[in-house]
Amino acid sequence: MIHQETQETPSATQATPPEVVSAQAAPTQAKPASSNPDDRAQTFEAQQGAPIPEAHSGERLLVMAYGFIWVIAMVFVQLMWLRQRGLSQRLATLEKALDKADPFADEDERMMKTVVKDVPKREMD
Amino acid sequence: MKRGTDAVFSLLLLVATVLYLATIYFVFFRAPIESRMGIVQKIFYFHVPAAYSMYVGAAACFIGSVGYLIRPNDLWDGLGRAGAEIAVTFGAMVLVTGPLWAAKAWGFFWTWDPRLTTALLSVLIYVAYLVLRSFAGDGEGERKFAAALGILGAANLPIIHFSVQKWGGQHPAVITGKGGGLQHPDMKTALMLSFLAFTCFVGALLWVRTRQQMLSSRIARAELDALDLGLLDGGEEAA
Repeated sequence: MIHQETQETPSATQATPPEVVSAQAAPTQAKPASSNPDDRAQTFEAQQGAPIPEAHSGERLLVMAYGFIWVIAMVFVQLMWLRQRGLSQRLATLEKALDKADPFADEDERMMKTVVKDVPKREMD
Repeated sequence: MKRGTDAVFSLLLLVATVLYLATIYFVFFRAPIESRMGIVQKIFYFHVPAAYSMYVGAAACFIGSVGYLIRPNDLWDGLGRAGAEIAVTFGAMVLVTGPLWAAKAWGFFWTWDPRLTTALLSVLIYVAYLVLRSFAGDGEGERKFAAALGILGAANLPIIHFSVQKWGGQHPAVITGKGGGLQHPDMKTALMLSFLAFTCFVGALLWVRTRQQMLSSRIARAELDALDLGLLDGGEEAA
């Protein structure tokens, strides 16, 4: 996957006329390294007229890039979901341990709520 | 208060969704095809905002790390960890989409260009941060060590940014370079929308992960208390 030189498929250079090859080669040729950033300043312009034939399939590269972005985002969301599930399990274990320690805790809490709710009624009576 | 926070979060997510839809529309239906590179130039509209999102994540990790070293609490620790995760996620997007663009623009997928190398190094630092947090326990010492790593990772960010200007290389300077830029107004709109969409999405992810991490810390403390009281044994906690 790592290449240091521009790759050209033999079939592409043999089968296409020279003017098309030069049009293809222009964007794929790597510029010589320069220490001046202004030399590497690049302008993106809108295409005029018919599209230039491509050596690499731009559509394929674009779809791959776009697909990878969504796959990476989905993996992140999936990991978040798994972590959330892990937290829920830990919380459930804690609740179970608390219940085991004081099995009447829930009942006490319910009774307390009933008493608090009934207090104003009794006071009115 | 809680309901209000939920509403703000939902709104943020909704705005991100609408902005993403608008971005996709502008990138694929309105922005013209670039004259020399062809359709592959459209990777640019996601590659650059992903790099910016990586910076946002790294900045959050830096803020969380500094905050934790000054005043250790769950919020700063959670923010630091969430930021590192965002930096790795969006850094991976940058490192995948960049070579795909380069295959067309340069003719090869990868070269040890200063910007590419420093970006890879930065992602590796945040991967190290997350590996440390995942496998070295969650004690005070580990958290402080990770915070130091988070600060070190942020120190690399200006190097990534200025490497393209100060050192030689092949990475283009479209936005910051003199003479560069997007010539068509729809190209500019597509990039602007993409920046806004990524900002809202990253904000939402940071928010969720920070809260989740804070919750995890609270549960861990409750587990320790339960262990001290003899309510839990080691096996139950591990489960």
